[in-house]
Amino acid sequence: MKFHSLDYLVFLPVVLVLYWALSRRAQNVLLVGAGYVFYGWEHPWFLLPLWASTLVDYSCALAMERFPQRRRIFLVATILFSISLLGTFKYAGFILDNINAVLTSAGRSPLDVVFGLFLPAGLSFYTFQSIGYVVDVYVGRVRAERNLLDYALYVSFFPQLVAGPIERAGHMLPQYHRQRVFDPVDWRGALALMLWGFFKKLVIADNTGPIVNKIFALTDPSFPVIWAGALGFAVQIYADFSGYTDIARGTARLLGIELMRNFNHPYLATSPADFWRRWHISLSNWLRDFIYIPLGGNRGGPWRASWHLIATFAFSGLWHGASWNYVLWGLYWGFLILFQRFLGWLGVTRWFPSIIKVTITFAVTCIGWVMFRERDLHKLLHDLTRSPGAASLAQWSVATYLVTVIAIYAAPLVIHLGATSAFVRRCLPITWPDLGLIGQALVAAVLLFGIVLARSVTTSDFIYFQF
Amino acid sequence: MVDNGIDPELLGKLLGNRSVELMWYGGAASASWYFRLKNYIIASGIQPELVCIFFRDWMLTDPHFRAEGSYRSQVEAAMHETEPVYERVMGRKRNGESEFQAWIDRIYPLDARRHVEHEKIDQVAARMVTSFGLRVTDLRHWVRDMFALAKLTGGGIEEAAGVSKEPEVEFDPDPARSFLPHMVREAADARIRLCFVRVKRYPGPDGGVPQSEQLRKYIAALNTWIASHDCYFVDDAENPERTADMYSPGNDHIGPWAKKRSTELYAAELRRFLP
Repeated sequence: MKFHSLDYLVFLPVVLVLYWALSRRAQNVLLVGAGYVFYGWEHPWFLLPLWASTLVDYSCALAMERFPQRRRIFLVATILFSISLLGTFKYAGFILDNINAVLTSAGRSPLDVVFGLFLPAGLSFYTFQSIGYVVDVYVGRVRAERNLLDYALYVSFFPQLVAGPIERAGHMLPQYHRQRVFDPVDWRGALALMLWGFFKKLVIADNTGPIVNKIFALTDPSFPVIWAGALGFAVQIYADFSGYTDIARGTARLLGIELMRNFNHPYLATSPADFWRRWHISLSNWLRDFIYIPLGGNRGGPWRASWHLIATFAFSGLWHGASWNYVLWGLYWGFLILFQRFLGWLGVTRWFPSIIKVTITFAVTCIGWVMFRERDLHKLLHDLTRSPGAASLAQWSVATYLVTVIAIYAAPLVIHLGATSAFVRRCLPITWPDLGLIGQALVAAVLLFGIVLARSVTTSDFIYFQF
Repeated sequence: MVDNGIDPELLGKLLGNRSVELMWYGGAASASWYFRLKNYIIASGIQPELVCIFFRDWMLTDPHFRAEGSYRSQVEAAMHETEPVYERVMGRKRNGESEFQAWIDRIYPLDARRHVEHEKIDQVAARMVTSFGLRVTDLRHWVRDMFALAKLTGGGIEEAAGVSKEPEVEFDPDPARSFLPHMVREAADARIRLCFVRVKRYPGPDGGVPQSEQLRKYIAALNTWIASHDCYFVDDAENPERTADMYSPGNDHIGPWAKKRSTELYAAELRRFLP
């Protein structure tokens, strides 16, 4: 089920009414059932890998505690199971394509195997969340969950099941164990957060999306047009993904559950490393804790630390999609952070004012988005090597026009950024509760009016559903 | 679709010095065609030898297409005070649309309103960019030229051509869901022969127009249904003689330079239906 569907507009109120009429234990039963209805709504078979993952990880975590001397075996078994799920559904076709490409280039005939499994939405998210749980149990950060129902809820909590945030057991399981309290004030904030999320998705992301799609469909885009597309995609993917997260967090709050913040004004980052502390924070934390640090982290000298960093970002790229452009995108970020560390070591970065750092970081982010958006490596190379001097007046004019349209749709993002930035907060210390009931109702009415009147005529799935 | 595609005088000459009347209204679709046929042609008492209706892809059975919003006035201009068929068709939900959406649309045609708002945003952007000396018409021309179908790849062609955006439905001649059966019945009652002409959209680099499998199935079913109701059907959508250079860059309209050629091609198709 999609958040931006009429089905969800019926589903959520029904769940909420039942939820707040039940006891804590029954609430958890309801949430597990709701999660399975939500996830299996369009493709019921999606539930099979979800159930398999739940049962295997739950059992292995319990076994780790029961047989501590063999816990490594159970850890390896559960991680291998999760990797095999991802490998089967997400990477098998990619691996086969590459084997065939190597065979063909070596003059051999390609393998006569067709592998075209449909990727269940959110598989990468819930497998990472499950791996996080079993590793946390293994190292003793959390105790293994005894109650299968509560563990099933940890995996299938519908607001964050399909596209995160990738939560940690230490944050979520205690919330499922305790009594939830209905708080009307918190509800107002939650509804406003959901409305803002819907606005970002339906008005900003879905209106910039068709422009971006057209630009990236051009066979021979000129320099200004491809960078208008990069800017448009920067707006689209941020509005789309952060919109999803806001709807997820708002929905969870309506249920008395707090999800972690996944974005913190990423386009105000002052360096590549800072960007990853602000963009998809739950994934960054996961990669840091379960890939970078186990690899050795900053230990072993600068060369080894650099290798750990590059490997972590290559893995991050591959997590996003089974395609070489994602690996390239991950490597690009890894090398950018290495370069930033080198500049920091030289002491160069101290000379630049923050505005310059933000501008440079945003520019390199846009270059990264071109790599992320363009899957065809030949076309990617073509796009990145266009010369500004080769573009005509007509091409510059069209690009300016496209940027203007994108800027108009993105204006609410800029206003929100301004209103919630630390600088404005210092000058005008008004928070959401300070607005009072009337102020909050006014903001909500503006957002609702905007969604009704300016939402895109055509809508698309959330971008991160494909991962 | 036919503003530059047909020269009525030339068409009349090519069809054996017949009189051809072009009842062209820009952007018209099935609701408008139904009322023009019923309330103008049939009501006038004239017995034309042939009435041709030029349509694109799914339009004949999509009654809501261009019937609301800015197109509403055009439809109303051809309507009587009460039109039971209109109530019957438009009161029902659209193909593939939920009951809730249909109910909302009956209260207020939101989608049509949104089109208007997006057009306004587009115009504001164009005016801002052209405030330094450029002409809006030049900018529009450059945009159309840049995103011409011939310059797009893969899914971009489908998206630009609107193939993927239009409802992928099965052919449904339910009189409660489309104006098509009503047009056919009205014409039959008045002993007027109808000819439905499917026009070709802007072709891709290979001269063909991308079509989904569903659309092909739909057109085949439409063709069978039309033939079974003693009407004629011309599918010009895959006519190789209608080449990309005949179209305005990037859109489905024939350019003024190709009017004569386009008229000749239509005449060649229509001649066989006339004695």
